[in-house]
Amino acid sequence: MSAPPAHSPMLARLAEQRATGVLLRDTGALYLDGGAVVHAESPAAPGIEVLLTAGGRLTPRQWREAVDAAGADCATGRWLVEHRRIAAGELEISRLGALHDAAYFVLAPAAGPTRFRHGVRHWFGSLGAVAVPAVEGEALRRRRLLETLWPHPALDTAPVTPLRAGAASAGPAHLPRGQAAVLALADGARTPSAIAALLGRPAFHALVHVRRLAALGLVETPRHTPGQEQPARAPAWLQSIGDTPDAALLRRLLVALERL
Amino acid sequence: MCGTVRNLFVTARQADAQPRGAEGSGVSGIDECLLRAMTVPGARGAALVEWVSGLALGVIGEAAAGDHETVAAETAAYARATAEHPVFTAGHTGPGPAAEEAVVVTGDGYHLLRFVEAPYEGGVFLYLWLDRAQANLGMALIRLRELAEGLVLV
Repeated sequence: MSAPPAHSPMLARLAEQRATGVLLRDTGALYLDGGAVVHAESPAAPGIEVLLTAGGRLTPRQWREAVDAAGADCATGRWLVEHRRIAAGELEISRLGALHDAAYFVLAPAAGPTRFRHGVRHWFGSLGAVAVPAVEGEALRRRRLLETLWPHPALDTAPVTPLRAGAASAGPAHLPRGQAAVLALADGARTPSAIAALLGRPAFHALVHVRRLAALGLVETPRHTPGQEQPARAPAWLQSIGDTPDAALLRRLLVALERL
Repeated sequence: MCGTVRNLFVTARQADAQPRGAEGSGVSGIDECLLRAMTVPGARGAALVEWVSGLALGVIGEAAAGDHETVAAETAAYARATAEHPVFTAGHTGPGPAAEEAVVVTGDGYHLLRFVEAPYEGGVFLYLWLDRAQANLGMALIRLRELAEGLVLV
């Protein structure tokens, strides 16, 4: 199987320059602080707020409370720990889980052009950073893991279609809980990412479960069609994340000019 | 030699970047938890691993086989087999895996896995590798439970 090189020259350069800002691709965004990755987000992966609230660890209200109190200072995570809404370990587990989950999609080989906006910080805050080679290495390891399970990358983005015939005849008596949960939500329309969002679990977990279900013949394996393997595209607003400081500067300029 | 020194430097920097436990109240971040795991008598290596993906959330000490990444991926496969095993999960309806811990005894070591009550399903386990000649299995299991609880205790 083709293993595309994981290393992005641009990312390596940014790490070397100890850059702070956001790396934008069609599949999501990677936030750097001092050249290391502190946050990642992708429309294909549930955010940390989904992981924490869907599992019942935090109520949506507790989450909003934290964002309102500390989001503007880029310290939501620290606020949650300091106000004893969540343990430091739990927060780190969820944060790292969400970071690598989103980074897998951001660093996808066919994620299109890459741009970087200097100076942008993420509102969640920078608790503990992950070195760029570690993030790239993990994304590559994940791609290889999926290949060994069932080498059909089209499954990652295609709607998950259950095969009832397979379930009736060849289906195993025991289906692990994670796979059963994904299969229960497979309706021929939802993608693995959509199912992961409904379950409030990392998107990569859904990718793993779908590959296993397909290998068991419980889920349809799409025919290989190049071009279908494109990961989910980010909405247009994501591309304008970095514009905020510029907009603020323009507003200040406008106010200053009007005063003249 | 140079590589070793650089690694130490990086580790120290990352430890500095970790949040401090809230007023030393026993709240444990990942690094703090792993540092404590290494104080269990006979400890040779430890890791915190997500078992569906095989992601190593944190590693410390020696790697029992190959490198830490390999150990994380391979112990994750073992943890998954345990968590999803039809015999161990029979009749289990509660949240999280039915299995709480797994112990593998080899000629010269103990390999302990403790599932952590993680914020999301398909979560994580704490892995501790001990030198059999120096370790006390019963005591190590008690310490491992305390460490796993410390990760999620508010």
